[in-house]
Amino acid sequence: MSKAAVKCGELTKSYGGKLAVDAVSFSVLQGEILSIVGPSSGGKTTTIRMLAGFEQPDSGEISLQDTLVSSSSIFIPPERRNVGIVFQEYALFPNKTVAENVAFGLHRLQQNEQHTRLSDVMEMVQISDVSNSYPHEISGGQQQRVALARSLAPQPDVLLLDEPFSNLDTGLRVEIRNEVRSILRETKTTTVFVTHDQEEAMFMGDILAVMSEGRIEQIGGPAELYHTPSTRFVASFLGNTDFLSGIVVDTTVRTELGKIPAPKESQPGPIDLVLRPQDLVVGEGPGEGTVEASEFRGPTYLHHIRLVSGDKVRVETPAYLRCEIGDKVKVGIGPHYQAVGFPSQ
Amino acid sequence: MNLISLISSKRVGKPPIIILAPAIGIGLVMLLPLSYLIIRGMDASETTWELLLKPRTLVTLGRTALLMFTVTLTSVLISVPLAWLTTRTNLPLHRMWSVITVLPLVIPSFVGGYLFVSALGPRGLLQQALSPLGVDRLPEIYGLAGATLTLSLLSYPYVLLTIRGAVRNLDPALEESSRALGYGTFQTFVRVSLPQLRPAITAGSLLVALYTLSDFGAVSLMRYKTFTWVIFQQYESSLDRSLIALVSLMVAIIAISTVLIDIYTRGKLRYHSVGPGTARTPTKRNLGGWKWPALTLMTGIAMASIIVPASILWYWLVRGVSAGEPLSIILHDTWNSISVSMLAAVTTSILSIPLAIMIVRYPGRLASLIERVSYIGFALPGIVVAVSLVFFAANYAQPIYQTMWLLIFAYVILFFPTALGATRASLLQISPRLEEAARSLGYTSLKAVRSVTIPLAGPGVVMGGSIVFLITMKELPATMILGSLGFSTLATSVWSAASEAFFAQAALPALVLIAVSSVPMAVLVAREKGDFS
Repeated sequence: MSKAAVKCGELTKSYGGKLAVDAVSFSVLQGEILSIVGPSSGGKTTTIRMLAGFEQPDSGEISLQDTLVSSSSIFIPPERRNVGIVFQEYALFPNKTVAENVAFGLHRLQQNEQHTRLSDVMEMVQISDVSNSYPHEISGGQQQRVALARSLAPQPDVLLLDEPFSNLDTGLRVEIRNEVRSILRETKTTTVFVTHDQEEAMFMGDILAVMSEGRIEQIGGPAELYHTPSTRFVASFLGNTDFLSGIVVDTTVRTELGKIPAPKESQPGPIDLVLRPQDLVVGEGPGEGTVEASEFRGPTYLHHIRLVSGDKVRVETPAYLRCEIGDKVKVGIGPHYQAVGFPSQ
Repeated sequence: MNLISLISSKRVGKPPIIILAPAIGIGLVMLLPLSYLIIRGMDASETTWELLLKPRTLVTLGRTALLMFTVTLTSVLISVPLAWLTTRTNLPLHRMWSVITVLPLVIPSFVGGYLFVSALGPRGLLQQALSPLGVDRLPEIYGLAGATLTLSLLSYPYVLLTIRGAVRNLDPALEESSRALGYGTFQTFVRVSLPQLRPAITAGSLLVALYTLSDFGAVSLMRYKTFTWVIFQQYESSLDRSLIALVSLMVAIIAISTVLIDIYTRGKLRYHSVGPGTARTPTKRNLGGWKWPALTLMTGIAMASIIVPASILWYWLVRGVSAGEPLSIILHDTWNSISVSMLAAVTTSILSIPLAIMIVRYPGRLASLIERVSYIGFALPGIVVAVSLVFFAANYAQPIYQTMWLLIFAYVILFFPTALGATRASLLQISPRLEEAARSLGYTSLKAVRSVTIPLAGPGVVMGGSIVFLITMKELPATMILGSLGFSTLATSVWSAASEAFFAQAALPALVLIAVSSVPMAVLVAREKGDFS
């Protein structure tokens, strides 16, 4: 089993009496990517700023590569943690060229080693052709690459990415994040990645932590969190989630969309089932509802349907399945649905 | 940047002692002049209080307030049309005009006063020129009219510059909305544009009002007896130092209340644009037939504020040189002026760094308290600070009494806010993320500051320093009071010659003074242009 490159225990930090990070614990294995996702001001950024050493935790411990860097008695400053960071706004030095920016962290290497490392990194990130430009002269995507190259150049033990893609437009964002992911894979860089975008978080992370109001709600594999959320918050944060009320009787759940097998270990009684638009079908099934809106998304439609009971669900269908607003349609649960739910409140 | 990172970037913790100690030290130094005046004032005997509470004092107060009002009003009336014409219309040669209209800033008030008196005073150049026509008397220049004329023509650029900055930031969409809603050009200006400019007009007016209050040279030459004149007379002649302290304290109170009134009237109104949408570059209005009146106005102001004074100066210069004024004294004075001003500029700029870092990187109650305290120097007239420091040094700091160091000390107190403003502004533009990036790349906090922050902030700090250099060159009363015996600068030489009506003798030092202070001025003007593009 590979060892933990990052280990946090009970990290806590508050500002002016308000808890920003509340007893957060997690560990990241060597070469793994951890995505931390959650709504803004949920404590994500504070968490990685504590990892970097820009903030001192009120309590709790941080170990990097089995070295304690932060505890009640120890505080190793950022420059001695060998941690790389890419900021949301990149923070490139405006008065230095691209090459000077990337070489900035190589000051401890020999002259010739510096050159080799510099050209290696610039090549890997594909910015060799702009090495003599200044940051303001290159595009946002290239600035992002320079920031990544600068933080990777000194071969950090851990790389921290703070919403690094949020300043890029949609097309470029997808392209760059693919690239960044494969570079991180290739270099086996242990990474903690923070974002508010759930799709990005699931794509980037080997493990995913959902954070809200300073606490980690759930941590685990992205698919695990998506399919078996352990809290209502996680369920509604990942995917376009609707809740459908039902009643657990023995091993089945009765809902207005039919009877399905109950989730494991569920208590008898009222339950709210977690449903994503992909779990439902339109045009067949025991349920009935009225179309309230239809969002055309190119390959698919997302229909907003008000069920007879008054519950609202969203259903994704292929684009040929058109509905008009006000249409009465049949609704059912798809055959592959694995029930997940929470006792009704 | 999300909310938490915004908060956390400000709460990096307590400032290190290397920042905190000098910042607190500066705060205490800034409090010195005022507190020492209070201490001395409390020594005042009953007779002193009687002297102070005579109606004469009230008259001086009224005169001072009246002059502050007339000069400020005149400056605003000059500046609003000038700012509009040079930025928002197709005025021919607008680049040239925008440079010319700020040039009066390089003319010290005592030089301006001397030039106007020598030209318009009794038996002055104008009267001599008109005497063949039988004119042997001109309207009286001395008094309120002359003082207002001189000070307005020299200080209106303060208002002009602040308004010009605001006009550039005006969102043209506001005016266009007003036009689309059926208001004409003039109504739009009065109802939409002018209210937007109010904060700039107020800020500029404050500068002019304080300039007027602290002026000593022009009011003395124009024989308009305001408080600064009274303090100087008392200082030269009277032995009752507690009286001087009390009068100075009164001036300090006027200055500080002026600042407070400004802060109060600014209120809580929002003038920046609400909601998204970036401002476009405004379209320039076609003046059409109004071009000629506009050009006449520009020429008139330029003539009165810079061309005529320059010509008079030239006239006296030629007369002085042909009469064989000695050059060696000038060299000596120039050296004194430049070295003292340079020293003041460098000291002030360096001292501004720790406080600026504290304000920008470690904001909090203490930081903003020290910041406010440090602005005292901005409000206090030079003569008030000088008088207080003389008394203080004579009693407690004998080693620097009557030395250049006491003078530098006064300059630092007076001009610290200028340097602080520039340093603070340049630090504000540097994201704390840059330093953090450097630290994560293995630089200690001190090294990060040295290799990232200082190179980026340097130009701004130097800019602030050059403004301090410019205003130190022009400073007169503190230099006269605090300079050691026999210490003369360009400013004191101009003054001593002009106040004795040796106009030809004053010309050369005045010219050199203007020439030397034009260098940082030129850089400033170039910079303002840069902002425009």
